[in-house]
Amino acid sequence: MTQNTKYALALIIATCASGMAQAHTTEGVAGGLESGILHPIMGLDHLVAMVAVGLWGAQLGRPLIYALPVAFPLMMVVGGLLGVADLGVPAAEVGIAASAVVLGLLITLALRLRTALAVAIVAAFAIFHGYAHGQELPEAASQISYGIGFVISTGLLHAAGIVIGLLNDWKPIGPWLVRSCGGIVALVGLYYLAGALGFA
Amino acid sequence: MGSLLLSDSTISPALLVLLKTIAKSIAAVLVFSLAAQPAYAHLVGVEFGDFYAGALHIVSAPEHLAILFGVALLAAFHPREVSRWILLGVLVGLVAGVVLAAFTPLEIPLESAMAITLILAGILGVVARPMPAFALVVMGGVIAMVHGFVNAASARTVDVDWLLYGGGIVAAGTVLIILFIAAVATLAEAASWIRITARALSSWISAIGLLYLAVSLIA
Repeated sequence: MTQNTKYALALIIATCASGMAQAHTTEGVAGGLESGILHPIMGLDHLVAMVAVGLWGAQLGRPLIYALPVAFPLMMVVGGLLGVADLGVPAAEVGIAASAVVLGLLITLALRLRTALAVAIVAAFAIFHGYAHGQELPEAASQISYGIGFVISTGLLHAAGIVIGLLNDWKPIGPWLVRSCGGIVALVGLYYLAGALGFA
Repeated sequence: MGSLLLSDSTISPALLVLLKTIAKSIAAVLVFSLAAQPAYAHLVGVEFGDFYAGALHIVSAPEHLAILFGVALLAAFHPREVSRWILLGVLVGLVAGVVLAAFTPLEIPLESAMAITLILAGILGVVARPMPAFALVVMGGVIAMVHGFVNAASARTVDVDWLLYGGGIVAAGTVLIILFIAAVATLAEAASWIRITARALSSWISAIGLLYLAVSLIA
């Protein structure tokens, strides 16, 4: 692992260390921003899927290492708008869990897809994640701060995934470590998928 | 242990390693101490004076910081002889916005206006096409004018000294944009991937703007 990678990891971890964990209904701007930042982190299904986006992008290299972390937040906002408007995205929790399963499998199998297809897969799953965030947005103390919070948090989770994905260059065991991380993501996704489908 | 002792007024290699380790540890503590703490009030009480109330009004709201950062991301990747002109545009724009809010009855949909400036700055940052200085000045000035108006308009119902409050807004906004541009431009010289990261961040800023616009229209 290069020195820069270590520093990047340290910075990502420090930046992700948001303020004290408080009740969801903290007042004002602080409450909205804090709730927004914490929402993707407190949900393990959200967290692993967003890290997986960065991880997959790093595994695939340019241009997807940049395209995927751009596509996901943009489409997540679209999903957020659907959530705010309560337009009803069917089986959102199933979609979120499935995103972790699919992305985890793609990383584990190290499948190289066409750029457009990879972006389309990530964009489609982002809608489910955004819908879940958007459903809680109207209850946030400061809606815009909540929105900024979950976009920032999502981006940082993608960045964390990219940094972990840099292990791919650490031959010979790096690629296997990355694929193992994908396996973990898929297993977590399976757990949540089973729960969402009523099997657990 | 003997190698750690100073000898002949020179620092031994082992002591140098120890000092570097200590320095890195201090740096790590400082980095972790940057973990942001929540701002508990959108409009800080005027106990600190109207100037600081105006200055802190920008700092205490993430959407205001996001717009300034978006403008900085756009400006930082232009040549310095071009991008420095945006500072003039931002300064003039902030002053104009504050004056319009303080001394005219002009009313605008504040949230929608902020959202549109976020979307505009974000899209321009994503596209990342070189712009002439004049265009940068105008773009920066218009965005800053909306920004200054929105910040000042929040104090219309409060008894403030507009010279101080507006001065705080203008000062904080100008200083922040200078720092943001300097930070991004410096990082861009150090690492080639900063440029593409800036375009990704700009896309997130436009996404935030889109969300803001939708919420302001739906709510």
